[in-house]
Amino acid sequence: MAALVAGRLAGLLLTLFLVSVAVFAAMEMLPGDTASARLGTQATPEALAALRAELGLDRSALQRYLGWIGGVLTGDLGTSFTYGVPVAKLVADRLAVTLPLAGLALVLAVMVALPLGTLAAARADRAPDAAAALFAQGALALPNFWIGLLLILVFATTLHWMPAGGFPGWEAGIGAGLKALVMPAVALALPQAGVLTRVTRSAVLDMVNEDFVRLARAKGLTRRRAILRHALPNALPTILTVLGFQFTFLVAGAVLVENVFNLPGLGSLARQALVQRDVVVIQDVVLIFAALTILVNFIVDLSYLVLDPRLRARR
Amino acid sequence: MSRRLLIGGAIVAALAGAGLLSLAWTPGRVSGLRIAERLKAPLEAGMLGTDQLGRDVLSLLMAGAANSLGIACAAVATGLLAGAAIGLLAAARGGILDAALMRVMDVVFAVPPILSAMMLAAFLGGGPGTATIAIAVFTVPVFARVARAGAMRVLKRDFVLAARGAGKSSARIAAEHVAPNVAGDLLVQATLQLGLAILTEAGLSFLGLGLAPPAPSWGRMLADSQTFFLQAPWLALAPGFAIALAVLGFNLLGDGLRDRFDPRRSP
Amino acid sequence: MCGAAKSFAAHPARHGAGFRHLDGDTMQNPLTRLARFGRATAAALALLGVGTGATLAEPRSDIVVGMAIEPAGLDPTAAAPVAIGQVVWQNVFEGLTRIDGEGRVQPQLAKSWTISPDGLVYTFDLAENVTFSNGAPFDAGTAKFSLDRMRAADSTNPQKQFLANVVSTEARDPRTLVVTLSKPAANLLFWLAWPASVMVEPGSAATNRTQPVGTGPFKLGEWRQGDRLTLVRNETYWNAADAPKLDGATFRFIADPQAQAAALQSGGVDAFPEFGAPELYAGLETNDRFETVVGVTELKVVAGLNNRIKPLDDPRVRQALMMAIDRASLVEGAYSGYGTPIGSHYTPNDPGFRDLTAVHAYDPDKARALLAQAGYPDGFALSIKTPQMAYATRSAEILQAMLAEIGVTLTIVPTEFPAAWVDQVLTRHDFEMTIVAHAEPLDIAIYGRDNYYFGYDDAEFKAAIAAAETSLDEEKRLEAYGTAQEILARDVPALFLFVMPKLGVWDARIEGLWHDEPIPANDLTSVSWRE
Repeated sequence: MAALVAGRLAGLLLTLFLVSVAVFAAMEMLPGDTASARLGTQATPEALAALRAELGLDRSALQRYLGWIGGVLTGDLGTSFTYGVPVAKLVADRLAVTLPLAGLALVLAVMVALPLGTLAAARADRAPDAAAALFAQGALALPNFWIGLLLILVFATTLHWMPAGGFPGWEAGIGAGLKALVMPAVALALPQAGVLTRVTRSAVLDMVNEDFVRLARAKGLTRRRAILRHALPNALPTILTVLGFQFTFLVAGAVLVENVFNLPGLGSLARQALVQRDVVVIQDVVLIFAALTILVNFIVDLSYLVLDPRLRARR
Repeated sequence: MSRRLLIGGAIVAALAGAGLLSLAWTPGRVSGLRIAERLKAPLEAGMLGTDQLGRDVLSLLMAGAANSLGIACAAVATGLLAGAAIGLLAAARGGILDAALMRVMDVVFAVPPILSAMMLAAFLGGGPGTATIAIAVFTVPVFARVARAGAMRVLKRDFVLAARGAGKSSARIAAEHVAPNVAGDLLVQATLQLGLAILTEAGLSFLGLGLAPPAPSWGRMLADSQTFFLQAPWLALAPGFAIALAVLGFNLLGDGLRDRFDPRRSP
Repeated sequence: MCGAAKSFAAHPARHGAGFRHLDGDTMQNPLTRLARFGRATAAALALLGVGTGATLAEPRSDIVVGMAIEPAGLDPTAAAPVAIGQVVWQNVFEGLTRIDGEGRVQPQLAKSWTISPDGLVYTFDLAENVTFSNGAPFDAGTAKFSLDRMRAADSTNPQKQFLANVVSTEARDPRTLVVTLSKPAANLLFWLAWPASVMVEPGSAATNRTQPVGTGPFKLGEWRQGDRLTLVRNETYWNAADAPKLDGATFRFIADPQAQAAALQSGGVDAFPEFGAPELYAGLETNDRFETVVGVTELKVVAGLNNRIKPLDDPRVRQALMMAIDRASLVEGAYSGYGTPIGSHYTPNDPGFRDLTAVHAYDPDKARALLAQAGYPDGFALSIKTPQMAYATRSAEILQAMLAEIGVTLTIVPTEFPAAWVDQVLTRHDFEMTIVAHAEPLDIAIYGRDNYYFGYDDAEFKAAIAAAETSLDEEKRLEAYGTAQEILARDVPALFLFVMPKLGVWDARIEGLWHDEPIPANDLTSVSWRE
C-alpha cells in the first residue's frame, strides 16, 4: 500500500513537472509579449527593447524557466508583470471569490441533486423518475453563461431583487458577499445539478440491486427505508468521487460566469493575464489548476482503495 | 429502439438538416447590412425578427447550425481519431510507450479545457480551424482513455490470444478484433462529447475566441446580442435555445446509444 | 492600505447600494408587472440588513467612477495604456502644465514661463511649497530629474520622443527650471501636460507602478486588482485654491457593458464617464436619475492600410476604398449613431480641425470607376486584422458589407489586441488592412514616423508636420496642421472612419465631470455633489 501511494505520488509530480514545461512552452509560442501589450500603438522597436531589458525578458528561455520554476519550488510564485505585485497576493485575492463561488454552487447542486436523484431511483421508471430525467437533461443542455444572463435580466434588471454583478468584497459583510454570489452560483450549479442527479440515481439504483439491500428488504424494511438507510449511504462514496471531479471543473468553469457577473475571480484573472501576456500569472494559475485536478484524482484513487462500499459490503 | 434514441436522433437530424439547407437556401439574408431593417421584432420582419445589422435571425440560426454543428463534429472527429489511435497504440504496445503516452494524456487532462482553449485561441489567432483544434485537444485524452480501457479488456480475451498464437500481426489483431469491440464505447463517448463541444464552442465565441465574423455561430450570436437584451430579447433567446436543443439532442442520442451497447451502465 | 480601510469604513452605505430600490425606472419591459409584485420582497430583503442606500441628508463626499478597462500599473511614465492616466493623471500626479476640459494648456506646477524669441529656451517659474504625498518637496531639481528620466537613453517612457529636441535641463534655482532645445517645439507645453510627462521624485519613481506618489489632490488608498481602486484626499495638497471637494473616490473596473448598465441602475456606480455600449445608452438617456452627456474623445477609429503592398500602394485604390464607405451608416450600425465621422486623422477637439469628410465622400459608383481605372475592374480580396473589441469587430463587419458593394472581398481575421496586434501589425507589418482606435491626442504626426505600420512616406506631409511642430507663430502652426490633415484626406493612407463618442452618464446630482475628453482623463479635482 505505502509503495503504491509513493509510486502514485511520484507520477503525480512528474505530471505536474510536464504541465509546467508545457505551459511555459505554450507561452513562449504566443505572438507578442508583455512589453508589446504595455506599449500598444506606441511600441517602437527601441521602446520594446528597453522595456524587455528592464523586465528581464531578454534572458534565454531556459534561464527564465528555471527562474520561474525555482521560485515556485521555494514557494515564491513570482511578480505580475501587469500589476507589479506578488502573484501569490493576486491569486489569494481571486481565490477568495472563486472558491466560495464554486463551493456555494456545489452546495446548491448537491441540495437539488441528492434528493432528486434518490427520489428518481426510488421511483425508477415512474413519473418522478421521468421528471428528474427531464430536469437533468434540461440543466445539462443550458450554457451556464446564458443562464447567468437570464438571471440578471429577471432578478436584477427587472425585479431589482439581486445585485446585477460585481463583488462588494468580504469586508462589506458576509451577507453582502454571499448575496453577490448567489446568482452566479445558481448559474454555475444548474448544469452540475444535472450531472449529479444522474449520478445519484444510477449509484443508488446500483446499490438497490446489491445483496445487502435485498437482504434488508427481505427482513421487512420498506423500499423507502431500505434506500435511505442502506442504499444511499453506500452510494455516497461514488457520488463524492464525482463531486470531487466536479469541483475542479467548477473552479475552472467559472471563467464564463465570472465574466457575465463581473466577478474578480481566478478565471477573470487568467483571462486578463492572457490578454496582457502576464505570463508568470498564467503559468502559476495553470499550474495551480493542474495541481488541484491531479490532487483530486489522487485522493479519489486513494479513497477507492479505502472506501469501496462493495469491498466493505462483501466483507 | 428506445425513446431517447428516437427523440435525440430526431432533434439532431432536424438541426443538421436545417444547417445543410442553409448552405443552399435561407428564408432571409444572412449577410450584408440594412440599417433600416435592424432590430425588428419577431414576425415584424421574418419569423424570428432581425439582428443589429438587419439580418434575418432565423436564417442566421440555420447558418449557425451549419457552423456550430460543423465545428463540433470536426473537433470531436479529430479528437476521436487522435485519441483512439493513441489509446489503441498504448494498449497494444504497453510498457514504456503506454506509460509515456498516457502520461501526456494526463498532462492535457490536467489543464482545464477553457484555459487550454483560451491559450490555443491566442496562439492560433482567428480562423475557422482555431475553435475546432481548441475543442479537439481536450477530447483527445477522453477518447484515448476509453479506447485504451476497451482495448485492454479485449486483448485479454481468448479469441485475441488465439489469433496471436496463430501468428497474426498486432496491426491485424487491432483492426480485426480490437477496433470493432471498442467502437461502441467510442461512439457513445463521441455523441456525449458532441454536446460538450457545442457548449464549449458557444463559450469560446462568447469570450470572443470563436469563429470570425461574418460566419454566424450560435455562441457569437449570443455574445453579440448581450447588450441588446432589453431592446431585443429575441436576439439572445433564439441562439440560447438552439444551443440547448442541440446539446439535449446529442445527450439523448448518447444515452440511447449507451442503452443499446451497454444497458448495464445506463443512468 | 490603512487609508483605504478608513475610507471604506467612512461610507458603509456604499456597499449596500447594490440593492437600492430605483424610483426613476423608466425601462419598458414585459416583466415590469412582475417587478411590482417583487418590490415588497425587495423591501423585506433590504430590512434584513446588509445596508440599504438610504438617501443621505447631506451631499455625498465620495464618488464611484466606473471604467471599462483596468489600468496595467499606475505609473503613466512607464506604460502607454490610457486607463493609467484616466485614474492617476490630475488626481494623483500633476505636470508642469495641465490640459483643461476644453483642451487648453494651463499652468500647474509651473506657475508661468517665458520662451526666448528663437523658441529654444523655456524658463519655468515653479509653484512654491509643493510637496509629494510622501512628504518629499518639489523643486526645480525634482522637475529636472523627472524630465531627464523621461529622456534618458534607457527610458521606457512611451512618449520619450516628446523630449527628443531637448538638449539640456537646468535647475537654475529651486524655483526656476530652464529647458533648452535644439530646435523649436511648438507643442512642448502641450506635451508637458500629458500623463506621460508628470512630475515624480527620485525616492518613489521606481515604485510608482504599485505605490504612486505624486503632488496631486488625491493619493492611493487601496488597489484591489481586478476589481476596484480607491483614492483618498491628500491632506497636504499644496494648491489650496484648487483643493478637491471630495474626500475620496473609488474606481470600479467593469468590462462588460451589460454589467456597466446594471451597476449604474443599481447605484453601485455613480458615474461612467465613458460608457461602453451605445445600444444601452439610449435607455439611460431617458432616465431622469442620470445626466447623459455625449462628448468627443480623442479616439480616432481608423482602418489602417498597408501602403507598402499591392494593390494598396496605389492611391487610387485607397481612395476607392474610402469612397465605398458610408461613414454615417457605419456610425449608425457600429455605434448606434453616436460618434463623429472624420475625413482625416484629427478630431474636432484638436486645434485647427478641418472637416474633410467631403474629400472622398460616399460614392460607390465613383469608387468602382476608380478601381477599374487602377486596373481592378472586378475588385480584389483583402484581409482585415481585427482586434477583439466590440467597436472593431462591428465596424469591420460593416466595412465588409460596404466593400462587397464595390467588389472588394474583405476577410476578417481576429487579432488579439494589443499583444498579437503589436507583434504582427506594428512590428512585422504583416497585414493588409487593420482597424484600431488611436487614443493619443493630436497624434497626426504618426503618419510621418519612419516605418510606422501604415508604411506611408510622403515628403510633403512630413514637411507640413515639421512646420507645425516648430512654428512659433500660432496661426502658421494651425495652418500647417490644416495642410497635414488635407494631405492625409487626399492620400488616404488609412480609412478615416469616426471619432468615438464619449458616452458620459452619471448621477444627475454630480457636477464637475468633463464633458469632452481632449485627453483621456477623469479629473476629479472639481467634482462635487449638488445638495
